[in-house]
Amino acid sequence: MNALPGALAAVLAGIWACLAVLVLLFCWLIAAKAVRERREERLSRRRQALSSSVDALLAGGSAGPLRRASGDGEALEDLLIEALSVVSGPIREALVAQAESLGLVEERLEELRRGDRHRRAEAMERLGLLRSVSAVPALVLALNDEEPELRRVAARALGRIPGVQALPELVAAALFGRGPLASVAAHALLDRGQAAVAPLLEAAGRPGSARSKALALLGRLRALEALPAAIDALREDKDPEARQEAARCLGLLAHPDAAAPLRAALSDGLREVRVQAAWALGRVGDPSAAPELEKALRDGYWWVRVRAAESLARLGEPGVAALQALAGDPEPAMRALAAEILSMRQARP
Amino acid sequence: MASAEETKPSVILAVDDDSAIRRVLKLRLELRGHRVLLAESGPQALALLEGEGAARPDLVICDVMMSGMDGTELCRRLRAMGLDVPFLFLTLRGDSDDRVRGFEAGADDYMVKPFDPLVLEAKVSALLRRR
Repeated sequence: MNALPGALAAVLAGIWACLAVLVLLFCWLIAAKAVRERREERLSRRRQALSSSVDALLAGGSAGPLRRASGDGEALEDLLIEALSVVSGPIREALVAQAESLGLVEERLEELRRGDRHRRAEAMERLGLLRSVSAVPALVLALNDEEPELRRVAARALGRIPGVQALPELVAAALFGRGPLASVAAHALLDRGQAAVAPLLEAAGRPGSARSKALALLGRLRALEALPAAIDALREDKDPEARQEAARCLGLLAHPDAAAPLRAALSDGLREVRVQAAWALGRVGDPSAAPELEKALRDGYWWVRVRAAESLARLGEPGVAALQALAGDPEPAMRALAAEILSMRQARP
Repeated sequence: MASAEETKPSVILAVDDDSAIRRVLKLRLELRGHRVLLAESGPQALALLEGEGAARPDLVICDVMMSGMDGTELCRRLRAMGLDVPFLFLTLRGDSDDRVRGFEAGADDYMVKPFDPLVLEAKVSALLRRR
């Protein structure tokens, strides 16, 4: 009987203890919320002040250097990165110089040197967005990181930094790298535009595993300097992929000098090369290619016939006449193809 | 010495779905004395130009790649509305197809993003001078 009040007292004590813990927890939550709100309010005010300073830089005024107070790093970096994504030229250089003098670049480089995998990836992304040339050596090193994901992030970051630094490394990654690294490096080179042409021409000028990739990029860059290399590759390279990319490159360059080698390539032993040659002749637009394209309408491979028909439609009168003549062709597939291409041509504005 | 075009304020409509671009365009062009109207999409730009008391811009700056109505479509619609003002569009580097489509739609000039604000201002002045 005496045990019951004792147990009740223990239960009550437990309830009181729980209530006390709950009250303490509640108070802690309220206090933490108030502290967080004050911090956010302070950051917001500070961000507004910093935003005005960045605007002064964007306006090209002589507002003097940005001043960095404790805790400003993140907001400053965000504001500078946003502005850097919009502008180029001397104003961008001034913004990059500010990011460097405020220590933002050095802090990210330190993170890249010492951080864990996640922080290193984040540091490289931010270094690319800060567009500081001083980050190039560290990013080039990271192109050889043992983590494939980090190599890819390094290539993307390098692609965002203007200038000719790291071009040889990006070219090597684009031509000899594997998977996503090669793809990201290729995009980075395309972003560099004309600056990427010279190192790519070197690879496009000689047979080898990198030639087809170099020709593909030069075509996308519309680099007319690649015309002789592409013609040579189309005529002489033993590698079918190189001939295929050479034909595509010539189509993208759309230069009249490419017409003769492309006409000859319609007889290439590899059907994929003939497809690209048929397509490219339409882009070059030389009407003298009409007879060969007409012959290609009888190619054993369907896609050669389709591309030849499309290109004939682009050549004007001689090509259109050849397609119209197919209306009486004994093969239903040929009649249908010609009718389709001609109707598409008529529907074009 | 400031030219006559620079001293005469013009109304410029800037259309871009990127807030950072809108901010820089407004900042730089207002510094040159222009009044800048901002829209973040094609439909919003059209809404600014329709109805009584609607704005009558002297020049339009527009991003080509926007979700919904893209820049070339907006240009076509503005031309169809009879808005015969210079149209400058913003495009990404390497997008030559976009540039061709832009000119076909009736645009007068283009700038590649990211752009040098000084070059943008010079283009805007040149286009306004030609009016």
